[in-house]
Amino acid sequence: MRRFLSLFMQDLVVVSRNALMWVVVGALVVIIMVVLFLIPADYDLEDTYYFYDASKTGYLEEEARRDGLEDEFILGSLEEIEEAVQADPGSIGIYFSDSGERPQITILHYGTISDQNLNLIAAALEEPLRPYYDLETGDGYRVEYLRPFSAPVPQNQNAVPPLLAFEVIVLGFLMAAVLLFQEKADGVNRAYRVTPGGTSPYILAKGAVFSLIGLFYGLLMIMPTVGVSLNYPALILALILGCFFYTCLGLVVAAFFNNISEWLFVGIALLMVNMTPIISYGWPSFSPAWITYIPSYPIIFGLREILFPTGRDLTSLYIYLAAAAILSYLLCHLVVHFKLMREGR
Amino acid sequence: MIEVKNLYHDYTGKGKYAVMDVSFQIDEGEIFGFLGPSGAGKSTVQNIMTGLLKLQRGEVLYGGKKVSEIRRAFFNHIGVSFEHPNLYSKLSGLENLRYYAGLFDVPTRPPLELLELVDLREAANRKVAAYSKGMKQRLVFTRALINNPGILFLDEPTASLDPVTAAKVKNIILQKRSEGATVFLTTHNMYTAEEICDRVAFLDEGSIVAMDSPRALKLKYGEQSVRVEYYENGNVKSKLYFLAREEDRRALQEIIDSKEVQTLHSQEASLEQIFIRLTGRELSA
Amino acid sequence: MKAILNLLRQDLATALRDNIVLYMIVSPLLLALLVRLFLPSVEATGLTIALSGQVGDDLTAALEDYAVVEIFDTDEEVVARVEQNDAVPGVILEEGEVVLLFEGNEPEAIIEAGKAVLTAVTAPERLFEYEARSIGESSSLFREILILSLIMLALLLGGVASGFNIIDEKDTRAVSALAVTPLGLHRYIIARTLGAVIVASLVTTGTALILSGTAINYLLLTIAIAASTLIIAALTLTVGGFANNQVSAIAVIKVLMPIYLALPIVSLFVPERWQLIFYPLPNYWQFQMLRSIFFGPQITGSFWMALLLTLLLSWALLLIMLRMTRGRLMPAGGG
Repeated sequence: MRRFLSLFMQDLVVVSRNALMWVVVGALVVIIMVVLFLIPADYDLEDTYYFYDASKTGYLEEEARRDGLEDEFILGSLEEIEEAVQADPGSIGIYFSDSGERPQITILHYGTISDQNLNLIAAALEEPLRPYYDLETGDGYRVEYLRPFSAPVPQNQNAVPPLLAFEVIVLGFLMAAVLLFQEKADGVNRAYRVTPGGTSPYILAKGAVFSLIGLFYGLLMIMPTVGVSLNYPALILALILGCFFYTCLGLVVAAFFNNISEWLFVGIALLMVNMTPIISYGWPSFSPAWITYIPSYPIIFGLREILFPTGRDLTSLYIYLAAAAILSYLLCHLVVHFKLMREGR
Repeated sequence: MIEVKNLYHDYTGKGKYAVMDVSFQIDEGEIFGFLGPSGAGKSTVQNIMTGLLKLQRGEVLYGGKKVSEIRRAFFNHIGVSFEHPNLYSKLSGLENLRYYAGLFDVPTRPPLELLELVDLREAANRKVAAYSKGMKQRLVFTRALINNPGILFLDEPTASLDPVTAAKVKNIILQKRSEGATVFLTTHNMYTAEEICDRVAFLDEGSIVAMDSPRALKLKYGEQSVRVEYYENGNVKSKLYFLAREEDRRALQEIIDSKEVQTLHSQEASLEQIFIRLTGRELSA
Repeated sequence: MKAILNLLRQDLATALRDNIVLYMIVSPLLLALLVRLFLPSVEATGLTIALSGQVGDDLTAALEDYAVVEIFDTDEEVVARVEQNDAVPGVILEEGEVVLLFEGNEPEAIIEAGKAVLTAVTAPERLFEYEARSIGESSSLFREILILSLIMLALLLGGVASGFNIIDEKDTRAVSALAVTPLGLHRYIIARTLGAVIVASLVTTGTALILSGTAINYLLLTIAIAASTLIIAALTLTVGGFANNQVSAIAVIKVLMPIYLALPIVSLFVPERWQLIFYPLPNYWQFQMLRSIFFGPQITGSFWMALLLTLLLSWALLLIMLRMTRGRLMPAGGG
């Protein structure tokens, strides 16, 4: 215990004197400002649609205006639709006419859209227009919510779980590497090896330091942006276990490199791969199996559930994080023992 | 007692040995010196003895116990001073010692007291990054004493130190011996070895070429010599001749007869000269 | 010139010995490859529906026209699938009635889509005829962000790598040895910048080849890289000048990356009337240059205007950086 505490205090002091900590403090302030004042509460990430209703009845335009669509998206000709889509290649143009036997929709777009998605667009346009044509609205089903339909989370607050996952929790991945390379540059590992210290206190001390820093960082980020009525036990557990896990991973990766300039490019690449679940967070329909295996995937959704509860059981998250922390510690122990606690042949 | 038997070490794995068949023993309370030039294998032997390098071939025994059987508790009783300072640059001298002390299970000496020993008291709260090379070396040395070790491993403890501080360090080493500590010291400074070592071993290209007390080595291998300085072609030249050798006597006579001699001094054999004689190399090569 | 080339040769020898070149080039290219592989599947993402096997073949076939269907044996399995993190509605049969299941935390668009699909498949007849017309190559916002981020990252890496060389020389005091040669500060900076541009060119071109193949104009890309030289020089000076060692370099890079990479991307979400906030940033115009190469000038206006502004503003930035890092690169006296 004494060894652990000594190493813990030492690492805490060394980290606190690192320029990176000041950057982290600055980043925290910037993040809070951005979330509170720059990200709008109701930003829409969905596709942009431009409409031209060339029908005699004008039902589509009527329905679009009733839905609150702004004038800039309701255009006056096919050419205008084409121009709008060309200027904004991510958008979709809808040209509606009823000159034939049945109403016709032409969907203008860039790239390829699958038949399924085209049918989906058509179905979405059909549904509100059915009553206008006295067609059955297809009420041969009922809707059920497994949990009460939860109120939408403001988009600016919705940004907090990813910020926690990719800025706070992975801080240990970066900082553990920085600390390790600092130690290599100072050569202090050699001095440590001739003490009773051992591998476990070395890892646990760093894990504890970055878990503590991550916890404070996370709480300081959440309270001004989301509020103070939080599920603190769940949040603290998630932050601590998550930070510990990434700290161990950071040590594992960094142990294989001699200095930061070697580590940097691989480290950045790994951090970017780790960030890919943000795609699923923003577009939940995209969740291929491989993305669900990335550790930050359950973490980011777990954090969202903790901050914006919908009644989902979080036991699986806790088990996942605990298992991840234990396994990463064991792997870290193996790697650190053979790569750092020994010298050459 | 520390016993080292038939030690070999190959860094490359290709049969090129940095240490070859090294054997010696160190009695309790003895200061044992390893003398040799850079690259001779001194630090390699020390690193194997302290467990920093894996034992490949041979034996290292501490009181009959093999080094491979040693557990972490062993490190409570040794102190290691490294040739190249390895300190936390972002911590002060005092903090470096304080946190290091926290790693031991045995009582440790107060850090300030240790800093006082080597005149670092006033720099105690300054970050190590601001220390000079000599200050760092002193701090590394005192760190090795913090756990009151029974065995000290000192790698070039007086390197980068001015004569006054070097003398202080040597006195501390002698003090430790008088307290019963065993000291293993590696150096290429023959004066340090002569001054404080009970016995020295000459190490060259990984092998021990001679081992005994400095006095015994001088008696056995030392020769009286004469250093002569003379003018030749407008330049002053210096040569050393061993009087026991016929050819050296003749050469000396020739210089006296034919050159303008400036100075002529007789010298007692030094360890450096003995080393040169035995290995053909200089200690500071 | 000889001194500059000599320094470049030295950098190459050092980098090769350290495997740095390998990591520096391979990592971004691997990332580009990953993006190339999974981007089409991201863009093609649509609705997924979990279906109980009891709903019948007709309904299953009808739903497959609208969504990817995952079939499960029991209703409990459908419920478990709906409760997973992604937004997948479920369809089960309960006492003969079709039930559309949502967890309750799905985005509204998914809920509306699910309802629209069930309405369409349970309705006796379709309302519309429809056709779809593609008017150009795929260009979603998501694709833009990913591709341009990787290209900008590749350009940044050149400056970072060279910055690390400067730091290494400061750390080991080797720069003092350089300071007492005829090299001089200006040639030193030129050598470091050239090294950075070479690395950036290699990585950027490789990344572009992987992401876009032959679909872009590589002559324009080469011109864009050349026009980025001054920004790369400024990046090199920022990393090498403000950091004294590798560890503090990470702190500098952590500040630099959001400013260099994130701000131009943020500009994509900012309305037109607020774009002028970004006008003073040379990396904003560099970003517009690259956008017009990869996604067509119709989005951004003239490539040449963006190039001109990149050059002018990066020249100003470089002058500022030179002033701020004076004395921090080489011991005073290096002329």
